[in-house]
Amino acid sequence: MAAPYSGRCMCGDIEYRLSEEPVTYYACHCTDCQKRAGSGFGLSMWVKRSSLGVTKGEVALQVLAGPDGSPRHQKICARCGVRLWSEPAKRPELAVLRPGTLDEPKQFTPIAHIWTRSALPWVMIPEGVKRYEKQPADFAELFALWRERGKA
Amino acid sequence: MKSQLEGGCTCRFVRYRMTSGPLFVHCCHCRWCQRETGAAFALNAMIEADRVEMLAGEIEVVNTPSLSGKGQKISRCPKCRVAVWSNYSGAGDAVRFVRVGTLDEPDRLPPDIHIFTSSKQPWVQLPAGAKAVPEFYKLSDLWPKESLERRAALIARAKAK
Repeated sequence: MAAPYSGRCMCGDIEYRLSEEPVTYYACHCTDCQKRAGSGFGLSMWVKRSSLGVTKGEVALQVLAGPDGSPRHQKICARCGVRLWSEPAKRPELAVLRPGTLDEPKQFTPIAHIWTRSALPWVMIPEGVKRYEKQPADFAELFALWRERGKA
Repeated sequence: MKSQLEGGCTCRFVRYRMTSGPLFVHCCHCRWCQRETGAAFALNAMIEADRVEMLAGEIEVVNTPSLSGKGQKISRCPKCRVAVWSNYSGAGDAVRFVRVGTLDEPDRLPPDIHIFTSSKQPWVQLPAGAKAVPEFYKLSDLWPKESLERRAALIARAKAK
């Protein structure tokens, strides 16, 4: 399948469309992502902000302090509270989509696992997938890995 | 005895403590849990509601649809909106499904079973020997005796009301 892709929140108030392919997609095992997802790890799919369009409802903006103290802008459903994506202040052209909200997330596979030093002991990181004990010094590495995926 | 299990949201407004171990821990791969977490699965530690103490803050209960169609009540931090637990229609308010990722030591509660693996993300691998079912299972087949007794006590209490 190719773009466009569709997604929505849990209660159905918000529906969105992703009109272009993602820029990168990785799993993050940091303790903040674990808490935010309430789960074993978080999933981050970076997309062009201009390629995300709300097709139903109106997303709410939630501003929180990020791990480094800088404001973290999250777009959520005001009714069910599901996080849809965040809009990093430092990268105004990009958004970080929560891929579990896509209608067909199965077609995408993360190209890296980061912050594996806090990965839960039972969580398996697939063989052959790039792993970082912390995070890459330059996130451009993650964008390059996504571009090169499947070409090895 | 190990220290008690404490947890909370990311902004630390909500803090809670589990006063005993859980009844059972689900790793749920259903599409609803994927949407809710934004990730690959939810990790839920089921525990009697009266075994969860609030240490700080307060929660906001959000009525949300669920796979069964009967809905679930998700308890979120009113500030950062992180979900700390939910209650489903089946067990009602008596059993909380605590989001294991919100614990300070989430590694202490590995899943007892993976459920709804029919919608599991294909790249997510389960540990060798892990219990896994395509959808759901019969509690009496898999829960330890002590958990079944705790469940029976809950049912008896609900009937006595």
